[in-house]
Amino acid sequence: MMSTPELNTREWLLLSAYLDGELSPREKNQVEELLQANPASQQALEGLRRTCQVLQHAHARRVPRNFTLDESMLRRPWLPSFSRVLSYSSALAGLLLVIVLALDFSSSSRMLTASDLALAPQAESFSVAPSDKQAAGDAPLIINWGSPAPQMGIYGKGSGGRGEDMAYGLGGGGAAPAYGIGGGAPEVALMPEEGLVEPQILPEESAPEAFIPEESLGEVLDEPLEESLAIVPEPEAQAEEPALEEAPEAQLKAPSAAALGDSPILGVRSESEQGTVSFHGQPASLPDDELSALPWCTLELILAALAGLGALSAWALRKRQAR
Amino acid sequence: MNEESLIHATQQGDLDAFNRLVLDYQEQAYNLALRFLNDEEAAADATQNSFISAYQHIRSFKGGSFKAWLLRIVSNNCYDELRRIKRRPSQPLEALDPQSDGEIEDALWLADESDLPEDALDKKELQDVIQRCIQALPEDFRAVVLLVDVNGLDYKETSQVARVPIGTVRSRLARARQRLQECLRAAWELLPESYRLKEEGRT
Repeated sequence: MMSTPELNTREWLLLSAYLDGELSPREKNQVEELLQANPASQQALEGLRRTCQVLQHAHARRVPRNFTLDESMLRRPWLPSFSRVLSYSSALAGLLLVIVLALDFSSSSRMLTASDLALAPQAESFSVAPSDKQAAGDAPLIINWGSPAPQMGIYGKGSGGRGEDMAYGLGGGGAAPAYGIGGGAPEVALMPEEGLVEPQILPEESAPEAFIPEESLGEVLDEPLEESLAIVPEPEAQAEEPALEEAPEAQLKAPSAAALGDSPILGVRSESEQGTVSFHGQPASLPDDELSALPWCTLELILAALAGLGALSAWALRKRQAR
Repeated sequence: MNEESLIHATQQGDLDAFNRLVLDYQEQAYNLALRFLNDEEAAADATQNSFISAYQHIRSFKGGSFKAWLLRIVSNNCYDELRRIKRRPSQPLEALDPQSDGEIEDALWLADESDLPEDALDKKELQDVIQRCIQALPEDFRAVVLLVDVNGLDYKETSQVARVPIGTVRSRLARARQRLQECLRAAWELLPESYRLKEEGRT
């Protein structure tokens, strides 16, 4: 038999379709030109023709039996197969799981938004309320975290100092509900008007010089540095300590037990608000949230278990049936 | 009754009318399945399931070539059966080398009993070679060449059955024929001499 002629894929495709009469007039003309120009294409076409003839002469096998239908073949089972039931049930469980997860997520988002809104007015309550004297032009309030008198109003992180001044804010007052950030803390002034420690520029002989190399000093400055501008705690700070201790005490009045119960408070209220406690909003009801989340988690777990078990059982059953 | 009336009666629920269609097409359907699957039992199951499915979905036939519509059901069932067999192979699916000396144990292509022994042997050898070469084709190529060259469908009907564009039918058929040509050329010496002489005489 002749060897296979070398033609490209398109030429083979055109010749094959030409045999079946499935070419457009333009393509037919192309093939006829190819057949006239290239003897190899004629050889290829003849080879394809013989192949088709062999296939067409393929013997048709007689059927082993008649495939006609009767009623019994067409009767559909009343109940679907058990594996199919398991498949559908696992799919349904999976779908329900997705829905429950979506509902859970959306309800969690709403609760978070509500707690954010509850926080917002509390955040405002911590803003500094300047006193009248300050409005009149006194020096601005300065919070000196390093001072040994934290009662000036700072009940929170960083207060340090003596035991009775320990923080009742964030992290403090464990037994009491948190009325710090997030809680219903009253409006307070962070600093009282009196006992303010103002930074002072110390005279040259008492203030330590900043360690600046003389060479760089000469480069940086036109004139030698005469004064140290380091702000250091003034020497009278300790002497005034008793006054400082007294002043806040004079201003601070322990909140009435009736107003707060046993709860600590943050900050110190201004004179006009002493003795009154205002609450802005209610703390988030964490216990209720935790309780309401439990049924959701249980439902999700149950649905996930149903979906997984159903799918596994259906798969195992089908495998057994296939055997 | 002509085919159209039989189809219409079947759509009205006449099972006897459908069985007459079954008798008309069962040999074509069975041989397509047999060539595709190369297994008698699997081909019989695929054919029976195809006719059951065709009756149950007869209302979806909206006109056109009933043969193409039916053979599409058969080829789909053959694909399903092939996948099932691949998952649980009970016999090797690879076609035997046409040049090998081994013979197929199952004599699938027995000649008619009325044939002379020599003719019967010729036909058997030819059928064996053809079946081996068809089985050596990839499934998609095999389906197209069986529909066009063995069952006589045109390109449009074949594209409906195989659910591919006509251009894909063209391409697959051309490549399938090339491969079959190579396969038959390699086994040319195995073909009966009378057949080869007849072929040479025609050219």
